[in-house]
Amino acid sequence: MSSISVQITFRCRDFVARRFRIGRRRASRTRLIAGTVAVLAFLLIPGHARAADQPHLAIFAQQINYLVNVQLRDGSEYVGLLDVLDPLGQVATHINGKKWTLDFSSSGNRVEIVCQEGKRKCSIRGADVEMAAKFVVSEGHGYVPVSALAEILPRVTNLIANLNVHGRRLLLGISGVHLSSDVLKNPSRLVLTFPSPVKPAVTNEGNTLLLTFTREPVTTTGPETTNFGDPLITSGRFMVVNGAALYLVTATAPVVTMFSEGNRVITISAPPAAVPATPAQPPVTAPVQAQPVPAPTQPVPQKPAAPAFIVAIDAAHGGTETGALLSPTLAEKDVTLALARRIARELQSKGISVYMVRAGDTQMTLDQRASAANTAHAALYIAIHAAAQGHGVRLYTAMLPPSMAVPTHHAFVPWETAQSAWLDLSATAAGSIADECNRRNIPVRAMPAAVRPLNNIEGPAIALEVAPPSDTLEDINSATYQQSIASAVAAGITAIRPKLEAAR
Amino acid sequence: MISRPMQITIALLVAAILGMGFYALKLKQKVETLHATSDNRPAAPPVTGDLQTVTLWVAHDDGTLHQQQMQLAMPNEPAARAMRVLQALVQIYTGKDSPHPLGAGSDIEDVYLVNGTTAVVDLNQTLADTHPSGIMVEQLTIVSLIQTLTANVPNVTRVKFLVGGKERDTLAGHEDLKMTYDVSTVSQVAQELQ
Ligand SMILES: [Zn+2]
Repeated sequence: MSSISVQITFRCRDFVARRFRIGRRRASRTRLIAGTVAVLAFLLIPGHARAADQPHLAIFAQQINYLVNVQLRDGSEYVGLLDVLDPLGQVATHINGKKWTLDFSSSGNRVEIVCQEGKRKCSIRGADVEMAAKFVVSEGHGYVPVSALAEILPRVTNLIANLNVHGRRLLLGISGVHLSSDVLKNPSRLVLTFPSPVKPAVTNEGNTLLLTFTREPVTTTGPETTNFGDPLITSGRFMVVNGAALYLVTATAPVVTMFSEGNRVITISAPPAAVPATPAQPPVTAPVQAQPVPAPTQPVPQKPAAPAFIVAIDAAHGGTETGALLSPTLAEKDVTLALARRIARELQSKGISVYMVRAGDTQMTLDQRASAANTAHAALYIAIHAAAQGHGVRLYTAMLPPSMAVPTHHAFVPWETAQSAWLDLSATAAGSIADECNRRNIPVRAMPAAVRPLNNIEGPAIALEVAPPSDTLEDINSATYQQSIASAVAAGITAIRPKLEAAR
Repeated sequence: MISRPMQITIALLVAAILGMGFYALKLKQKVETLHATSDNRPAAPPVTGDLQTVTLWVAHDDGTLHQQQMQLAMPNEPAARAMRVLQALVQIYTGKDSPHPLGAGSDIEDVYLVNGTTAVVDLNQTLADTHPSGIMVEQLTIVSLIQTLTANVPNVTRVKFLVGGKERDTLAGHEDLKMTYDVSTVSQVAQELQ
């Protein structure tokens, strides 16, 4: 065990010392964060795999990721409340007989947790939280069952907690880094796309390949195991084990990984045979060294891999920038994210990779969105908006005067008019989606609009504004309605995929 | 706490100062009018202007634009004409039974013409700050303003919007206010919205 891990364990038990350190919480907090970072770094170094055997809970919050030791008591897994809350704010604990109290404060918000040793509940803000096992005090330190954190943390921090008890992973106030998988043919390859860069450890063994994500809270919405029915890539299995997300690829022959799009895309395929033709965009090699892979026994087609066909979906607004307030309780940013996710699932079901420009409730500038879509080399960019006025769907392309159009293959494209060369293809995409909306009796119109950041997208780009289907505003959130739109968008894109691919 | 007699004194003083200012302004105008009539140069355009039939492009929140005729006292000077019709349009939007409601107090701050072909329209802060958010609803405001302006002030080929005298990213989160609008491109969009 590393000295850093030992230090953290020691700190948890050093209750007497802690009581006198309350005035110096900041310094100790910084030390804990530094320690956590060091532990994480330690775990990532190959050869120290045994450190991962120590059971711990991985906590991913907005500004910080950290590990908390898990202890087994009477058949239940426990964590120290102090260890969990310390990195999230100012913490002070008091003990009085069997009564154990923790004061937590963060950005002016103060909460008191009161627990009784041996009781199956704690009181937070005066309300009781039931626990699956009794509260334990050991050497002055208070322990709760891991499962109780799903109830405790939202009440203490006002953040949404997504707890995977068996996987020992907790996402606090964040939605995770969503993994989308997609098998493409000729040659067979599995394309894993992520909304932000990832750096998993890669381990090859025979015909299997394991990606281990310890730094990013990787999530997926699909089933745990996906059978791809591909001659090379048999299946993909996602699981969360001891705080880390694992993705296990089973193939019929040895496979290798290639990282591209700034580590947002991982392509898993047969190793290239002999010297391949130089691809237009050289893939970035894996950040973590893969083990040498034996040459394949069967010949592999030598066709260079085309840039992956990815659709960038941008759920407009986010964070404190809520967009339109559709009703006192319905913000545009939430409708756009829900619809964006449906569209993403529909596209993925049709074998199209998706890049979610905004995956959670985060704030991004318009320039950041355009840069993200341009960096991802998306075959199509769709910004999703929602509005209270009118009915149905409105599709928009950039409003740029034709005189400003620049040749398609310019080395340098002016930011303000990057869209000029793509106006025709953008309009074709909008038209194709409009046709599919008409087919589903969704009122639709398509026209140009000066809506940002369409002008700055270097590739086909449209904005979709969804309005309620009826005079009842809340119907904009109807699952049936949104699903019907998502299906129309996916069908519209599928119909013009060859045109979009030809333009790449 | 200021005593009541003191409050009354201050109120009277403020009223007196405002009244003096207004009287001085009137005197100045009177002198200028006398001066104008006493020389041979053409008279300055009247502040009110002749009653004329003008066309306004009025937005409706179902996503359409409608041309509407209106009788307005119109000045001759192009920037003043633009200001007059745009204010009339905004008054429709802030009025009762508005087809495209804008926040109370929304107004046009000023309109400038550069070389007679580029119009700079300065929206007031309230108009932008209280504007409903959405691609369509914001586009309707901008397109109707541009169409109304160009229908009554010929030769304008480009329009730039400011808010409270300053550049702004978007009107209310969507419509691009950084760009300078090309009148013929906007006109094509307006045809589709009719
Ligand atoms: Zn929006």
